[in-house]
Amino acid sequence: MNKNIFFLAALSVAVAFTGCTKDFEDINSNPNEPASVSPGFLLTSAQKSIMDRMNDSFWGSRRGMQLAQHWSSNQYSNESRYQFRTEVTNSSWSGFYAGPLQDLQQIIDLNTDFAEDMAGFGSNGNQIAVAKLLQAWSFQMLTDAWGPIPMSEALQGVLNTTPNYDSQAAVYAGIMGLINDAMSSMDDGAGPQGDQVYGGDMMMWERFANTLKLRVAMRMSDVDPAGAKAAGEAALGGSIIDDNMYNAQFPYIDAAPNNNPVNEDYKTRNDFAASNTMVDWMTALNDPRMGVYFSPNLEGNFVGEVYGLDEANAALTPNDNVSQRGAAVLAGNFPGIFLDAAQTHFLVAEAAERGWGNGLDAEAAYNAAITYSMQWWGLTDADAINAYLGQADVAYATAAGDWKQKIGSQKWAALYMQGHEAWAEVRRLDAPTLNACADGHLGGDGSVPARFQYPLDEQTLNNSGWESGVSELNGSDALETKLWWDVN
Amino acid sequence: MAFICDWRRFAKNLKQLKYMNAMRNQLLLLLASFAFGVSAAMAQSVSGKVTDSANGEGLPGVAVVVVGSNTGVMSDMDGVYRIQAATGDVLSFSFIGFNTVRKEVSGASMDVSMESGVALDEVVVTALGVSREKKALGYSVQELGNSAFTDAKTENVVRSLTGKIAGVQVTSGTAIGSSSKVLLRGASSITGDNQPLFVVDGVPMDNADYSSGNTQRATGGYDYGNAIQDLNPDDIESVSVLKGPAAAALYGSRASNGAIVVTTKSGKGYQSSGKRGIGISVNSGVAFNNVYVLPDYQNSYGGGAGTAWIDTIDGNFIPDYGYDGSWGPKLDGTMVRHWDSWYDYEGDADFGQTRAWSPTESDVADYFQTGVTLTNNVSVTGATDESAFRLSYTNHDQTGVYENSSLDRNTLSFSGSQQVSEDLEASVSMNYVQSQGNGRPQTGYGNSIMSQFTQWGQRQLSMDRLRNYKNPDGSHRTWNRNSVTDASPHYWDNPFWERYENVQNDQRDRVFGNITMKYKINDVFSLMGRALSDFYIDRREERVAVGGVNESSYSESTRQLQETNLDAYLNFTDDLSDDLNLTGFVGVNQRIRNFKRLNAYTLGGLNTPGLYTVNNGADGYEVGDFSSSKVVNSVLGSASFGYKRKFYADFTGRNDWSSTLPEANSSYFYPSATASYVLSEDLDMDAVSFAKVRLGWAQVGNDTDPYRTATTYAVNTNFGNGGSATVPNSQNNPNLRPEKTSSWEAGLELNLFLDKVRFDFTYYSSTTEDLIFNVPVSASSGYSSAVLNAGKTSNKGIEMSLAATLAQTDDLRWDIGMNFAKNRNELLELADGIENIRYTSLFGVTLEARPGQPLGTFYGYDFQYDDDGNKLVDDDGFYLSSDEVQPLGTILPNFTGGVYTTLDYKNLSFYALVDFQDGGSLHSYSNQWGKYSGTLAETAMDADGNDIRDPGFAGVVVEGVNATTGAENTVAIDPQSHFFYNQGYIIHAADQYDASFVKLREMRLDYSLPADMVEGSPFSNVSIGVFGRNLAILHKNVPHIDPEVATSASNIQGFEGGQLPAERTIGVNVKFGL
Repeated sequence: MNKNIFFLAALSVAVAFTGCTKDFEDINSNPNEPASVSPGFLLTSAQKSIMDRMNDSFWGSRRGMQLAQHWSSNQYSNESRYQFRTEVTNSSWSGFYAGPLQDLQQIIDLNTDFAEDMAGFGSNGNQIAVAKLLQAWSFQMLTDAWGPIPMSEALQGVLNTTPNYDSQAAVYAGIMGLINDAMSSMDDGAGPQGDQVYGGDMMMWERFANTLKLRVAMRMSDVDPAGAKAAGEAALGGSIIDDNMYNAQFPYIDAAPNNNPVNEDYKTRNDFAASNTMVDWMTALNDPRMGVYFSPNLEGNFVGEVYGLDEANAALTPNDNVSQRGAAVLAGNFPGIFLDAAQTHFLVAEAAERGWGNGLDAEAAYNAAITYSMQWWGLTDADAINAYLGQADVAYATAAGDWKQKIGSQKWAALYMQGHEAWAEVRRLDAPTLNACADGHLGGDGSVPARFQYPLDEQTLNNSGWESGVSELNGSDALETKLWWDVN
Repeated sequence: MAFICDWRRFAKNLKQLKYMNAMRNQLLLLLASFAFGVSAAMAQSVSGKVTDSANGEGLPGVAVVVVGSNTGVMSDMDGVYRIQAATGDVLSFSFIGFNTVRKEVSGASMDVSMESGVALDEVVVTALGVSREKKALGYSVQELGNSAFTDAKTENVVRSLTGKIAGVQVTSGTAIGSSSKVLLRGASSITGDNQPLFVVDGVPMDNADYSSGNTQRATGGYDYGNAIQDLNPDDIESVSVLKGPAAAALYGSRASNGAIVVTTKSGKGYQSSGKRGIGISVNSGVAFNNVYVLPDYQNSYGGGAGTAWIDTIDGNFIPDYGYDGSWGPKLDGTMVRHWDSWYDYEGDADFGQTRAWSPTESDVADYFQTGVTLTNNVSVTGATDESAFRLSYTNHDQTGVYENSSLDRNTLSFSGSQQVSEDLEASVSMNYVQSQGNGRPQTGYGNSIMSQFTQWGQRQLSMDRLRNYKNPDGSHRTWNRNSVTDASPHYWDNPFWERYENVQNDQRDRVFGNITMKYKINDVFSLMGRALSDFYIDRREERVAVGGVNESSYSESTRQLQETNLDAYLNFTDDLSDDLNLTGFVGVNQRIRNFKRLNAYTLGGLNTPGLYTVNNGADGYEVGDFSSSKVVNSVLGSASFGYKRKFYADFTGRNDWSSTLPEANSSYFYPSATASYVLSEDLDMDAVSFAKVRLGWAQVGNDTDPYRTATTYAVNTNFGNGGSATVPNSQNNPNLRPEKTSSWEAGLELNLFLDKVRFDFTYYSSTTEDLIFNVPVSASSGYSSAVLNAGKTSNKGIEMSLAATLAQTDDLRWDIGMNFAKNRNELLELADGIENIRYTSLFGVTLEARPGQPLGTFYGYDFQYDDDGNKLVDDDGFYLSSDEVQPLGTILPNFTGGVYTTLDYKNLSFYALVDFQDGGSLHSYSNQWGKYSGTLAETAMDADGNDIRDPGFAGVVVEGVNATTGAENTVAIDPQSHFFYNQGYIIHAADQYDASFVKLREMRLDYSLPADMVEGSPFSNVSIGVFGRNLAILHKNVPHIDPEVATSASNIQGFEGGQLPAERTIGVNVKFGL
């Protein structure tokens, strides 16, 4: 009897305990992070993280800026000799997919699934439009770096942790689809909150959409001339970023952590200097942008660090002897550039040469492009610009080479600080001719890499997807494997 | 003695209990002896006193038998016996817990001193602090006494477990106050740290180390050590190691990797040994630490990227100060301007001077000093008939081998008990620990001081000259200046600048203890209620001074943890019949864990140099805070049956409700059943003195961390005035299920030849399913990881201990023993869509788990081999790298163990322990980059003694066969290319090493002053001892570093970067007892 009482007591305590679990949901709700946020916060984060990655020390400085040969390495020169770090490939890949692309997807999903709740942060259509345009911009940059990439099966979380890769042709079609969807989604309602690029001005995003469409169309113009022309002409029929006031730029602030990553990196390391490729090219043309792009060496001269030196030889070049990066580009508030007027006008010039649209003037567009570039870099003296344009080696009529070489070379110079875009256009236009690595290459076949190898993570975490990508590349996950649009 | 319980302690503390238990047992022994007896003749009366050799006190209840007869008696309460025996007869004296003594009758008076040894019904502390006869247990338990922790003290008690217990693997960091990870039977889970639960007097102790991911993978940060090092060795009474889930099923989830149950000293033992009044004891020790494993450097070539001088100024050669490698000019005595000749300050004698470019006269070893540790402990113990207490104070004062580093720890502990009434006992235990660290060294690739000595260093540098690290105006003097004109550091600070300018400090204040009430209802039932709490505040401050290579900064973080456990148990014990005994309990437990963190750091550097406040950030500061709560409610019960003192069976059951799991899956039940059979009770073999077989089966459920079920957003710093937030990189899971570990074990204990040979063997096998892990997934899914029930893993292994008494006389006892353990771990399967589970990766080498492989397998590029196992070489003479990543080895060893010996001769006691590990793999960045940067010996001289950098040397011809021709490779390559292309930077396998070792871990020599010398002094016993720890690495397979690598206590192990050199400790201990 005595015993039974105690067992009963224990049992009743046990029963009382199980009742406590009703508080568990409260206990386990995260007090540190919100369960919902303004989609504007996501948009700000996405815009910033795209540009953070484009300007960081590995994806930006060691890849884009070196492959374009705008900069050289002054000591650890492996990347400039085409030996790329697998870890960096990993973090850049995931930095885009699991970062801004996912945030943008979340904006699209929230405005689709919870349209009413989200309408207060800008019209649903406009929020979706801006998110899709930024996704389109990012996918183009990614596919131009790697070729086939996951797109149609990407961004689905645990529903698909091993997405297949789409061929680059399919990715380009997908990008066009995103741009078209975005344009048809735009409405007269309020623009999205949290838009650091255009402050929610949808007229500006329309220019962005058309310009991006033109840029995408142009990239595929050699491989799908008819499709490219149709899309390009449609884009040219709308408003475009034809003035610097329309440029799509991320406005970095001169204070950590919202400063430009180049500035942040420079605070503790100075691994890069002006490359001789660019300094020599600009010297030959008396380019007035030289003094903004770079600073002179200790003796007051512009001397580029020889591109592609091995470590020993790079170290033998004292920093004092070569031109360093200019103060403007090392500033904390140097903006991150999505699209600008200079490249738009180069695209127009090329469209003219390709016979797109009516009444386009290649020479005028070429001059406008260079002029907008000069002006953007603060060189507003019209006489100086005209003097530059008037030089025989610059003037469209007299400069050396065919239109591709003329436009390609000048565009390459104007795309300073947009290393990845410059590298893509060098591959497509095959101009200018960049230098071979001075001390030989460490990876690839010695030519400027046509793409990057896939990140090691994809081999191990998404082997089936990775294999589908490699097979789209005809089995060759190599630096020298040319991309779909790179047919010349 | 490693695996044998400390019987002196046992004899003192549990004497009363023992006496009662013993009587019944002794009678049985006595009867058993008679069964084979033959009558003796010519008997006379022999008498004497049986005493405990440890303290000279009389031993009651000793069975005294005339061997070969049916005559036997028991000694009385004072240890006195009287028996009829003839001269020439042999008397056998046996007593539980003591080695049986046989003596020939030589006269009418025979005193006998008995020594504690292996006993049949050894009592060990098991789960929930229940003292159980080891005999009755169906699972493996090993226990260590106080001396295992105090005779050769270290600042982290976990290290004292090294090599002493089978199946316990301890991995320790090298620097002052660094972490020590302990694994029992390998790693079962992919989450958490797989460490066993530490329980101190019933209090589950937090053992977090809060190390960053970078610290774990050896790429930087400070190793603050794990929190269990707050445990004071001087206060430890005993430590029971409960391996495997069966032993610990009742502690719940956290003990699924076993439990380490610590009982601290209390006044109870003093009281139950019959003492009254006050006793005082004093232990003092001093120990000296020195580094003893340093890389083998080359001393022929100095800093620089190539052998040419970088410049000539005013006719003086200029070396390349900015290059952090040693492929520079030969150290041939050429006069050059060294780095320190450019500081134009008044009175600077080196300014403008040239000195010889020669091997350094003050090398890396001079960077380190001798560390000194002083420990002092005073304790007061007191008892009356109703109450007992113990009060203890310990001061641990340690200076590191790094200048300006220290660890200071003060521990105050109190325990007391009071018999309130005949049925009610109240007891309390409180401990306060304050530990303060200062100037801990940075760890890992890139930040550790060894990074700039080994991985990225200039070999000609003189430590004596570097010691002058600051100019009169406070500016930084570093060897790695950017150029002749630019004195700012290129990649590295002066190593002494780091010591004196970038100083961190930390403090942890911790209070833990319990309040317990026990009420005896009747002979069968008793109630126990307890409140147990562990609370600490951990504060860390890190500084980077203005003028160094890194942006100046100040950061501070405060963490606060409180865990409270509330328990109530109804205990019962009853003899159901003469043969059948039942003991057990039912109980409830509630565990509440609250954690808070607040951290703040400056942005954009410091405005005012030398001012370390958060407000001093040039771009302001950033603040982060985090808090988490977790509650687990449990109902548990246990029933233990004993039949005829030879069959035992235990059953336990526990149901948990955890707040961290989705509501539908928050409840989970797990049972265990164990059985044992004391074979020797039925075995009629003279050689076998004890034999037992054990069998056990158990399940343990496991929950997860808070906030892993619902989706939330990560909030970024505002951009301008606007908010910024992002979808987290990790996808949470609303459908998580609890993890479940099922295991069984079988064991055999066998004592032979009157317990002179002692053998214990265990085989175990466990499977953990529904492993909860934040699984890295392809980022193209939009997330870089997802919280999943990710897979299933198994552990199988054996543990064995063998000990033997090789010699035993009145004055001498010599024992030797060994522990051995082998564990096989395998990931059996993974959830759909998951191809592998990755812990971390660095420079392309990943540590991960794939089905069919052990948890913690390295993957990276390997060499290419032909069918005969030869490495393939290309036409240019370089090794070929595999096309895809390959498994390169696992961090888990093949087997581990220790061999020890104890030699007691009169008042002298000697102990030595050698421990070993076979296999296990590590990736060494010290080796990889040390070769890359030309600092290590092999980069200047090959195995045949050739100067391979000499222009006349033909070059390096690597061993291997040409991939196209199959012929032996004969192509010579220049050494710098060899140490770049053929090493771990390109072919990861080249710097993957076998982590096997044999170490002389511990040696001790103790001397107790003989009783007659102490007599007249106020002390009852005085002893002095000399000890050494980590005395030598007797064998290893990895060059330049200590194969034991640890920079945190997390699951991420096996990456070595900038390893801080291993330290050897030699010290002296003095103990006084009143």
